[in-house]
Amino acid sequence: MNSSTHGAGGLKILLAIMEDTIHEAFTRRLVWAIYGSTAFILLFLLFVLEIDIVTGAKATISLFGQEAMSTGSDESLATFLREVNGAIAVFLYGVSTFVAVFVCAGLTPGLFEAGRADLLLARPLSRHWIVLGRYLGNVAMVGLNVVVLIAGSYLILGWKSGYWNSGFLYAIPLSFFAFCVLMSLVTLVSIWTESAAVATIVAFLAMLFSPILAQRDLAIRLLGSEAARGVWTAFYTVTPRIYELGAMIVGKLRGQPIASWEPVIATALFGIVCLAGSVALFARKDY
Amino acid sequence: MQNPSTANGIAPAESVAAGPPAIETKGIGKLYRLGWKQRTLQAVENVDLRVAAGATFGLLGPNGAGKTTLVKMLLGMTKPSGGGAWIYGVDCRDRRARTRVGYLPENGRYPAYHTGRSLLEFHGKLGGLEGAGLGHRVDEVLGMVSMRQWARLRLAKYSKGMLQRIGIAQALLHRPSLLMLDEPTDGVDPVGRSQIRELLVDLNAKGVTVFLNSHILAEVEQYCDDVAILHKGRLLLSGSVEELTHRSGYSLLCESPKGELPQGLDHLVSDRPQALHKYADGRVKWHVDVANLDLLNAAIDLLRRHRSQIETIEKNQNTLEEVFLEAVRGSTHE
Repeated sequence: MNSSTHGAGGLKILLAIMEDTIHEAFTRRLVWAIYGSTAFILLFLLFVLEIDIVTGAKATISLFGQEAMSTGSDESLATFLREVNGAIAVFLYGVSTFVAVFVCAGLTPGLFEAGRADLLLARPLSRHWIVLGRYLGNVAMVGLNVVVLIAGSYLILGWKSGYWNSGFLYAIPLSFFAFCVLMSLVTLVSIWTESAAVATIVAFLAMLFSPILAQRDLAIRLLGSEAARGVWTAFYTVTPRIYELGAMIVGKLRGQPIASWEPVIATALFGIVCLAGSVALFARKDY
Repeated sequence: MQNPSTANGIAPAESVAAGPPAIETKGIGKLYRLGWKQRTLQAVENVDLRVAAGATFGLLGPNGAGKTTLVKMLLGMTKPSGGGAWIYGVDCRDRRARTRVGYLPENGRYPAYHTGRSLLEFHGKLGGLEGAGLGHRVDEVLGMVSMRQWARLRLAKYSKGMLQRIGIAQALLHRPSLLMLDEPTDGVDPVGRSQIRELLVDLNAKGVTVFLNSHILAEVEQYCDDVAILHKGRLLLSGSVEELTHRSGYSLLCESPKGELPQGLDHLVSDRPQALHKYADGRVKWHVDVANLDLLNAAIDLLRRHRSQIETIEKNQNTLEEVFLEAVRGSTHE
């Protein structure tokens, strides 16, 4: 029999579904939302943000021609520029992750809805390729955007200030990593509920609660009951450490070594469990 | 690539008579557990079915009978809770069972961002078609469903009938040996329905097994060789359309010139003749039933000698709708 009667190999199926996901994002203009916000931020940094450095000792940040910040009396120029870079890197990390999750959470469940999934499931395809194809299609689309946004911002800031801190570029893998993990959560919830709204809310709750749960040391000191401390710790342990990943970017900009890889490992485990759960749930699901 | 010796790109049958049946189920069932309380719903119960390779088969049943659940179990979309099913001898839980199947879902949700052509190209890629072969095959199936001129239009702009045609085209892409069509003519205009019927006849003539799930009983009666009737998840009847609609004997309509039927006819008829109409001039129109061909001929000879006019002679037969309604009512009264 020829290949058409047997169906495509796993890699071809994966690529076809990835391509279809990107095609859907383009035609639904979702890609424009992601890349449009990136273009807006880069143009803002290029034309609106001004960094004036006077005789190499004092720097002023201006927005729309108005002075927004300047070096303090006891602050060195390098420290000031490092902190500005840190603030922008964390902002880009947060914004790029937020926009990407917002856009892709709306895109993902469509494929898993009854009626549309039927067309794929009636073909001799392994269900895991369908889930992974959709997931990787989103990841590929967002990955390129993260590189363009953060590398572009790095080049513009470096060109304007003459201050180049390679720690800024750590925002690329960390933003991409945070998105991949949140997207695995979105995929799991999408398959479970077939609802874009629920998937979006759950992903945003994970982002929202991350900085709160990260205050674990403070919470353990303040909470009176052992049970409450246990619940806090349990939630902290099993949820992705989005806030701490952002803090790692600032640490790298300050030239600090990474004190602990635990947030990365815990977040990666969360993502792996969600993605494996998505594949397993989709494989078992009745349509 | 298309075999040049085949019309419409439809491959000839591969050993239609020999080999395993296209579909076989043994005691297949599906029990759903719903909600937190795990309320049970027996959607399909202990169904034994056999569809011969090369047949045209119609699955009938009222709404909620379990037809779609049965089809989804055959296609591996829903897991049976009991029994088993095989497509060309391959267990339906094995995805290889679907390599020879083309499927048109009843309420298929076609992604609106696709054009007709891009949808077919996507499904072609999933089936291993690529390059020039893919483009060629897409053109072919678009032609088979008369959709070439609309191929570059977004599906969002398609009518229900156009979506059905594109759905049939995607089902045909991989030259399936078994076509499973759920309400294929739903929303299609009469001309389109006729074209689809012709296409299915053509496919079947080339050995493709056609499994039709339809509410349009006249369509099934006209097109299918075999049918099964499903009700409340259970198989009520299955067999050839001819067997199921068969009723012995013949009936004829005649007019007797003086109102009376000839003497001796009462020995030939199976039921007492019914007077259907009395004319002012004394003529009477009668409905006469006879049990077999010999008695029919004897009755005709007698009537003609009596100078009765014979209007029509028909072989007694139930319509599929009558068979269907009787089966469903009988099951409901049980």
